[in-house]
Amino acid sequence: MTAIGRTTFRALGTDIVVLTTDHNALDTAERMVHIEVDRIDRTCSRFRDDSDLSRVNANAGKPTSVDPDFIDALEVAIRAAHLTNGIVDPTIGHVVRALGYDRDFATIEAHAPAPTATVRVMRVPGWQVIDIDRSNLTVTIPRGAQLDLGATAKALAADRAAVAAHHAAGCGVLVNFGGDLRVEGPPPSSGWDIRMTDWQASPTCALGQTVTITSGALATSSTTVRRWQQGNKAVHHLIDPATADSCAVVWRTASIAAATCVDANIASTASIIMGSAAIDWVQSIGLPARFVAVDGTATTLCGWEAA
Amino acid sequence: MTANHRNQGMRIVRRITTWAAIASVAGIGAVAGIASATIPGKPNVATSSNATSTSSSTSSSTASSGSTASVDGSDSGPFQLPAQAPTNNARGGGHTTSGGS
Repeated sequence: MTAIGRTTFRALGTDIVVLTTDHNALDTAERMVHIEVDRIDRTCSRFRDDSDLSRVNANAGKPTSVDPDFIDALEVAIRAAHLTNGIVDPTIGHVVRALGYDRDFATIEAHAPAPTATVRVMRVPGWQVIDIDRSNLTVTIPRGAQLDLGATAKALAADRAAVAAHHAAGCGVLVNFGGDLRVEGPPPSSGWDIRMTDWQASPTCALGQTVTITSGALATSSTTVRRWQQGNKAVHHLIDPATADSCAVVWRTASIAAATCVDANIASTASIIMGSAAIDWVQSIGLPARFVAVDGTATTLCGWEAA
Repeated sequence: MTANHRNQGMRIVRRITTWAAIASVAGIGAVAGIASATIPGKPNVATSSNATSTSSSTSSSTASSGSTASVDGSDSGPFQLPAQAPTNNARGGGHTTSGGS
């Protein structure tokens, strides 16, 4: 039996973890993961001026030439909006920015602006305003609109990275992009053991549940990690398009299992924003879920075994 | 009836058939666009799924423009369920990595 390979590195504003069932294949797998990370960063990052997303935002009101990879990521985001009736919406960029999340999270709190009336009167234009021209490879958004693909782009990268790493390395692979986790290929004999906690960097003794999966994906959205002070107000990165503000906190974390990380991420993000209504919604779509309330109480749904 | 009359008649029939086909496609699109799941507790969010984007600079005069990127409900598909749900692992530990970002 070959030892499990493990490596971590920092990218996309989070910690990237790569595990392989064959330690000797780790370098190959990691190389493929880097390629996918670079691909999503180059097209979808809000924090680099040369990304397709930043150029579309800067050029709002006019068509902008983009990479086909960006259109793929944008269509994933639009599918998310469709599946959630606009609760996970890619046109929240201006709200996230107004709340102060306009730079890498590590430096956000020192620069967060004081709350202003402007924030309160904002509205989210909605995904229907996005104009994609695939044949000319252009994207147009109206003046005033700003895109943010944060929720779905990272999950898309995790899906692509796991598949590419498995094919290149020829063994089972697990990738975790800051809570967007995907496995591909044959798992270890006892499956992949995953400790579900509030935060990816939590110690293994932290409160949570250890689960085992053998295929597919897990995504955890949390209101406890990416939060900061804006004046006297505590805000976080999960935006409710209906209020154009950080959503009310009913769940500390929402974890969802699905066949792909994109689908798991869409449902976990939507669940946090929907609050208590998420229980009925998740049961209607049938995805296994684990919600942890603010008081630490865990609710498991749709076949997710309780601890 | 002259050949001219006959040709003119055929052109009218073809035109009517073309417009009927376009209207039919548009009708099917409208019905497909209505179908979407409702979210409990969120009655005020947008319910239209008509995010199909067409470039005015490249659209041809027919309804079958290849420049349209259809991203509406017709090609979005439902959520994909996992092969199996996560099972509780009382042992803990293992190849530990965590959720939460």
